[in-house]
Amino acid sequence: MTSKSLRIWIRVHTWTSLVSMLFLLLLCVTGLPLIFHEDIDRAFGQRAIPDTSAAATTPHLPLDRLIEIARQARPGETVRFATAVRDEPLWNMEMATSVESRKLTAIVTVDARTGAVMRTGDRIRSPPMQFLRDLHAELLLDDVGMWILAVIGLCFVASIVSGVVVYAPFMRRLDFGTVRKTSRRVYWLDLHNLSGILLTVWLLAVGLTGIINTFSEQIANHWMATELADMLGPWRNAPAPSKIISAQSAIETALAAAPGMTVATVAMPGTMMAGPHHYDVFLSGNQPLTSKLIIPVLINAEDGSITDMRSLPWYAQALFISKPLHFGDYGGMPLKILWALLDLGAIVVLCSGLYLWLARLRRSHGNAHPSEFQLTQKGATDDVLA
Amino acid sequence: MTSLPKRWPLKRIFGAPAVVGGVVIFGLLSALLGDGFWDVLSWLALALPILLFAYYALIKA
Repeated sequence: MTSKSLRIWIRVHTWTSLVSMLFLLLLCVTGLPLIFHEDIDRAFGQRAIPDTSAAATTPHLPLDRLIEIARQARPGETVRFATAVRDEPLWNMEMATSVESRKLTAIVTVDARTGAVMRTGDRIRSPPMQFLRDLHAELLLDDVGMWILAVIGLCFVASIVSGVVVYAPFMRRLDFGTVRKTSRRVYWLDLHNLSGILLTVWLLAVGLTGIINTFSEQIANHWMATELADMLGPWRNAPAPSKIISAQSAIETALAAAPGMTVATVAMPGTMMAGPHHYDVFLSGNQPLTSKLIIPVLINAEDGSITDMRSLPWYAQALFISKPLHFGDYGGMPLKILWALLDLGAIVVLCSGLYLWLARLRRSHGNAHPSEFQLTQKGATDDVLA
Repeated sequence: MTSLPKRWPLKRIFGAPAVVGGVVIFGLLSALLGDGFWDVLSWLALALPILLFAYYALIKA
């Protein structure tokens, strides 16, 4: 590496970090409570829990009955999607004024055993958690915020990669883990290097999966326009049948075709995920990894036959795998706590980096402290970045 | 153009970080691919960078 290329790497590291700094701090701070959003909502009674009056072994009511109950709870509205809550006897019914509508009006959570409505809310999350989520995922700006975040994500990745490159010259003469207290600036430089290099892999994992998550809507739209359209084939624009089979028989047919899987979500006929002539039953597996993935099974709503069933394309699988890797919700409470500590570590990386830049700014206004690089290289390559 | 030393002690500089990085990759994947025992391994693996930071920054420094 030449001194010129090193200087360029340092510049890339400084500026990509600065551009994304405020956003990354915002993401770290809002992300912290979001790791525990389910637990926080549950603690404040904002999350639906199963009906305690029924035994765990009580058989489930047919899905059609649960849909009927949700519709009675919201007169004039209909169920677009019915989503089974994993490992709990609950269904979240996504309501809208019509099945074709893309605007969610409410989520009604029904206990599958008793049919009791356990919660009705605007979203699955409580309003404060939803606010944090919208701030975290879209900066409250919908599509525009999403694109800003995608650019920030790329800056973040560039900043991590360049940070690893410039780590080498800084650490050339130092042992791993050295934290010197010779001056405040040296102390923060060493903390920045140590925390940054220890967290590199985790930061990259959360950063890259965050970028993929940012595009979840585009991925879903692309899947509908290509893969789903292909699966529906001639049925895509077929008129809705006058009489449709029950939702319960649709999920039973789908489950019979895929032993060992469970129902994740049912898209009702008429929704954009199913087309007018089909139910789209999304199944998920029962292994740790396959439970994160879904397989769509299109059930002809007129005669109950299976029209098509195929795995998601690679880009959609990447999205479903990237969700747990971003949220840290795939290894119980200990993993969530570790995720929170790593998030706090990321805040240390950001703040120490910001401090070093500010200290450097002050230095360039007058007195001539040596640069961070010189502090490290003293005596060896003093001239390199003078 | 000044050239920095040609031979970088890369093994010494990146040895420990590479091991930690490998352990973290293992931890990220083990909870994803397995349950129970593999979750526990994942917790231990992901605790490593945190413990190392605490040790070097708070105890040893």
